[in-house]
Amino acid sequence: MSFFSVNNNCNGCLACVQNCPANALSHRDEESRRTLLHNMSLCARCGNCWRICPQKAVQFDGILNGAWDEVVTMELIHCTVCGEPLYTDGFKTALTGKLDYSLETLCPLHKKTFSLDAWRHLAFDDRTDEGSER
Amino acid sequence: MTMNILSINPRNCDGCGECETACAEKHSGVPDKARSRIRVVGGNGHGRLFVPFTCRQCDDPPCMSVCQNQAIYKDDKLNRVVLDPNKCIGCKMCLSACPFGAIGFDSTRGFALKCDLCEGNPECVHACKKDAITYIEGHKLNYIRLKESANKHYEILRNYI
Repeated sequence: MSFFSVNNNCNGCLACVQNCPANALSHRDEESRRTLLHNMSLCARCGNCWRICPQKAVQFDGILNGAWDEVVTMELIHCTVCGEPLYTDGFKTALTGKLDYSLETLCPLHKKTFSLDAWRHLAFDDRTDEGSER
Repeated sequence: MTMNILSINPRNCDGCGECETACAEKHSGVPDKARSRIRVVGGNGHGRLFVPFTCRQCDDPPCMSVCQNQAIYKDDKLNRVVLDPNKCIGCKMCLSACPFGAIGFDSTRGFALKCDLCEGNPECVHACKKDAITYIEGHKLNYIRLKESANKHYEILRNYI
């Protein structure tokens, strides 16, 4: 999550809080500690806090550079023949829960290719010269 | 007429791919084979063997039981399994669940592609000049041979898994 962060240069002057047009910045003073608060759903991403900060403590790079946030990461399962990514382990769990047979970890093409080997025996088993007609 | 089934005979198939083109043309208006609901696999390392693969209209369809939005349903009138593209949310559960790899995916429009037997008049059958795909009444199939084939198919697959 890199949208909004503040580095160690912050001295808690609250200039950003005073000047945020969207009231997305706030603070909390508790006993010996001051905490700066930011609310992403109120933030208008205007960059005013970043421009105004006398300490250059507000980090707005995430918004300026348009970076991608990694939201969630999970295990990936691949086709055992060609290695094409098929689905995640969670997807497989959901699938197998609804099926009453064991799932082969094959892509659609290699499911067909395995059937093809079976077909070879069926289509040509009673021929001595395999497929020589054409 | 209503209880016809799509029968595939790989002996007659030469891998021309006319069925794929016809299927895509009929369902999406463009001859884009990536959008076909039938797929010919073979050639290359498989010699002259070509097999057109499409949905087998299962009795108890795994794709239907895994669908998260009830977009797949059975139509007993034509003895087929139908996918409603308006209800499909594109999660690809059915693609992974199908034991035959018979379901495709339209990545431009974002929904799964499944054979619907063209409302009882399959376009691939008309397109196939070699009679490798036929739409015939179930009782006209040779059941004894079919049963033998199924057993052999099972044995061969079992060696792989």
